[in-house]
Amino acid sequence: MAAPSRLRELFSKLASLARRRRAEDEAALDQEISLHLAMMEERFRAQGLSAGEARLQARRAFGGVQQLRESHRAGRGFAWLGDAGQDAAYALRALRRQPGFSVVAILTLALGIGATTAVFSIVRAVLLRPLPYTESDRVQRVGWKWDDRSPATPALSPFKFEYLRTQTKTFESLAAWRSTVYDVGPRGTGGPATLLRVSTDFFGVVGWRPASGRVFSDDEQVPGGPDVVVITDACWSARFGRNPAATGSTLLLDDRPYLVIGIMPHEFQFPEVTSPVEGILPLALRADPADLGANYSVLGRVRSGASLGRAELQADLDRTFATLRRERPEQFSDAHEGAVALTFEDVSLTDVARPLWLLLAGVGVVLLIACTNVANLLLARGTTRQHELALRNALGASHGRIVRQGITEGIVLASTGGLAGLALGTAGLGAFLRLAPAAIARIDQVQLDGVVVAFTTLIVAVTGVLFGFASTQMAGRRRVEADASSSLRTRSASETPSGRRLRQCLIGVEAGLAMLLLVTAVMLSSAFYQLSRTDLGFDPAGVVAINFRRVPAEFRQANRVRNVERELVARLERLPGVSGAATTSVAPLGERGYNMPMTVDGRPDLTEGAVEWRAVSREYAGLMGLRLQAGRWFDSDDAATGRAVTVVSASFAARYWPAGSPLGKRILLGVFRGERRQGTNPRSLEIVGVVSDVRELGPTRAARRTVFTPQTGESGMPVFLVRAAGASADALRVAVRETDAALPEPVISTLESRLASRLAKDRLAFGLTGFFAAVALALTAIGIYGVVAWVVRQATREIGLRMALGATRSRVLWQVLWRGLLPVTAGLVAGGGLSLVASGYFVGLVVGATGVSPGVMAAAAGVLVFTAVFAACVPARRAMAIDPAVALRLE
Amino acid sequence: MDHGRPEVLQGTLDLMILKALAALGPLHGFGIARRLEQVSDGVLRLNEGTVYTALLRLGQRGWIRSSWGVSESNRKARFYAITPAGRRRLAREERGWKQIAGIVDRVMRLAPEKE
Repeated sequence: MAAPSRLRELFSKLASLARRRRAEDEAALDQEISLHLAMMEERFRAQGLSAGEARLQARRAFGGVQQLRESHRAGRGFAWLGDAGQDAAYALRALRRQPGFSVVAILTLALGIGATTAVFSIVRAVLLRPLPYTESDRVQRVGWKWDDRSPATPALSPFKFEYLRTQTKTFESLAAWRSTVYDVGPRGTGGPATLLRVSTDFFGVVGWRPASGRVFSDDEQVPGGPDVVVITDACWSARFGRNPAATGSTLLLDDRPYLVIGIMPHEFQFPEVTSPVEGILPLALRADPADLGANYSVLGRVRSGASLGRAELQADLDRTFATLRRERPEQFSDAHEGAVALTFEDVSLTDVARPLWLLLAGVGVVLLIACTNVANLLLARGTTRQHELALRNALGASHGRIVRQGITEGIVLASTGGLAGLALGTAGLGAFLRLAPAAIARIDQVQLDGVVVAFTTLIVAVTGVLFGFASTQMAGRRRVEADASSSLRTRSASETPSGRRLRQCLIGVEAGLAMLLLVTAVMLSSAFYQLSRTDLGFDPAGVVAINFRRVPAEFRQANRVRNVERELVARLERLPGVSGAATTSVAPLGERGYNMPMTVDGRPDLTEGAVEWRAVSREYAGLMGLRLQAGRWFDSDDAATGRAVTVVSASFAARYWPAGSPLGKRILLGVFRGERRQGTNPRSLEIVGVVSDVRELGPTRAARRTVFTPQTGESGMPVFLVRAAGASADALRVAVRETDAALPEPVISTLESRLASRLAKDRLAFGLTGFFAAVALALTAIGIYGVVAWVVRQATREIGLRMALGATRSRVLWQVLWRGLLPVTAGLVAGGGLSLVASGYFVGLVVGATGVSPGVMAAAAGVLVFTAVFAACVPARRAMAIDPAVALRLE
Repeated sequence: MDHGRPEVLQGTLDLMILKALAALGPLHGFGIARRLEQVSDGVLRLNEGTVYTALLRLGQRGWIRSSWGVSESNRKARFYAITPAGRRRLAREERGWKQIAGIVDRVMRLAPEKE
């Protein structure tokens, strides 16, 4: 806030200083003019002219007074620029003189700089900008590792959180939190909003307190405490119009009034959840040792002065939990279980950070290719400008002055390209943000800010200076000084072998870089193709999910749920276009599942903390297309007789009964190592069937061990699934409303769209890499075209001579083509090698990308060679059309 | 627009002004115009106003500096004097001028061979 206003002040001071200075200058000039005119007049009078005549003559001899004033003003305006200004004006004129060259060069640069700017601004917002907490580097996350195979869950169980909070030596304070979606305002008016439930120390950990009002008191943080809420600035704006009286009023959450006790400052943001947070509620944690589910995210503030290193944090966590392991061994089921220190990147940017870095590297390569291309163009032009530079040198311009002029031209070129690139980047960024999955943390904060512009300016400066050298170094020095006279004499300067070699090297570099991008793109797209064809274990085509995200408390009783379920399923099935309806406890292809501890009945050693659990209706298997591997699915007898049965997934069966059949065996759900979890009512369930593994969290995640049980209404309001070829979402909504008017508005989505959003990040990585590879290919094609065209123009005489001596046209064509394709081949080999080395970094970017296969390499090489031949053929055909007689006369 | 000719002329005018200031010491604009008229025997016809444009340009490059004084007819006038940098520049320009003359001469001699 302060910096820009101070800057503005400085500018206005400078401006007024300049204004005063200009006024003084103009007054002085007027005085000089009038003196000059007066003296002239006197002189003419002395020669005998009349007063009027003398005055006229004086004016005539002096010339236009007004013109002089104007030219003075113009001269002063550029004064501070001095030589640089002259150079820039000259460079602009030079660019205007060769519009073809300028347009290609500027567009090429704009493409490179624009793409780099866009991706950098994303990287900056998402990865580089510090988190919005006070002393954000002291804020760390703690997660739980269940074994040494799967990634850590970024959360702890309540008991372990409490243990860590009371025993830690490294953390000053620790807070547990979870986000929940509520319906805000009177029913159906405010829509869903994300709120946080936080434990006592939350405000201390993030380092922000309400800007007005207060935080929770002790008696508000107990189970069954009063309903109070601290709202965020966004909520205050959107729902209270920033009315200062908001504190003390109430906010309706799921139709319950909550007293607003405080308003967080504008600066408070909570990027740990991707949707904007509207309010904060107290969380009363019950440290129940039997509740082993890691369901609370943990944020901690490291003691000031303590080392912030990840290793030290981890050592502290290991120490603390080693003690717990000794005291309460039943809290651990695996030798590798334990707490882990996690960064924001680990938790919120798991699938994003690496693709983003890759993308930045990718656009960096595109920028390199663009620069190589422009350097190539400048070199080509440099040869034709030999004449001009030689003349300027002869007219007294020093070598330094010529180089400086060249650099100015380079910078003018790069700045023009940079400005166009900035515009292009802004547009591209807009398009990207529309396509990007909203689930990327902090993606909403992407913008072109000062740092991004500074980054672009740096690119422009570096490329500009390099171009300057490229254009003058080639045509400048040696020739100008040694051969001033010959360069002046011959207008059609020919390129030296070293010049051609340099240009061919540049093409080789371009081809190599393009090859690198192509291999990456081909690899990622084939991996993505595989991924999108992954067997999910069910068929999402044509299935629509009707999901009630929050239901009023009245709908949480089992019999009410059963009524709604029966009624709604019946109504849905009657809808035209609907060929089946079923229910499940968790919407498939969402971001999270629902897990439960499990023990094999009578075998406390065969147990695990979290298996996926779905309570589903009888129609579920048929509707989703589950494949039965053994036994049977649920039948109507199960419901009628009340038999406790379950169907398990293949990987579940394989883990606990690797040899024998699981059919007829019994498991206890909600029980871990024989210890019952609070609030559950475990029954011994008989395994009656085994189905193929399902990937309910999408193709990017491994199949989880899953158990299905019949829907009983005890697991809350289910998600309704319909196979609806023709029914509209509105028809489904009407069916819901007719079932029970008190039901909230459901979220309706097709499983296919849910699948697409599960793949969004992968699609983005593969799509953008493909796009950049295409750009790189296009730029390389332009470069190759340029070089071959140049070769043809340079060698016109030579070709003519050869043809006159009897060379066939096809021979000439091959010779010319080869000069363009030789460096491409070299680049192809080098780029292929490079991509083999680099492929290690790409593996895992798209799940299933395994590395560079010969097929991938061949495909990339094929595309590159085809493009190169095409680009080279166009000018090479011109060589074939050369008439020997004309070519020989040319010189 | 023809960019070649005025540039040469401009350079020439600058050179002549520097030379005048080096030879005669500080002068005001009117005095410089008279000196130019004198050395060119009236052949060089120029709008005397352009002298001031040249003076601005030379001042900006640090080759001359100006100060206010009183003219011979007792009027307030601005006097221009050459600086040490201006003297160095003048020496270089003189060399360069001879070089150009030589090269242009060579170009002229070479041109007919090319037919």
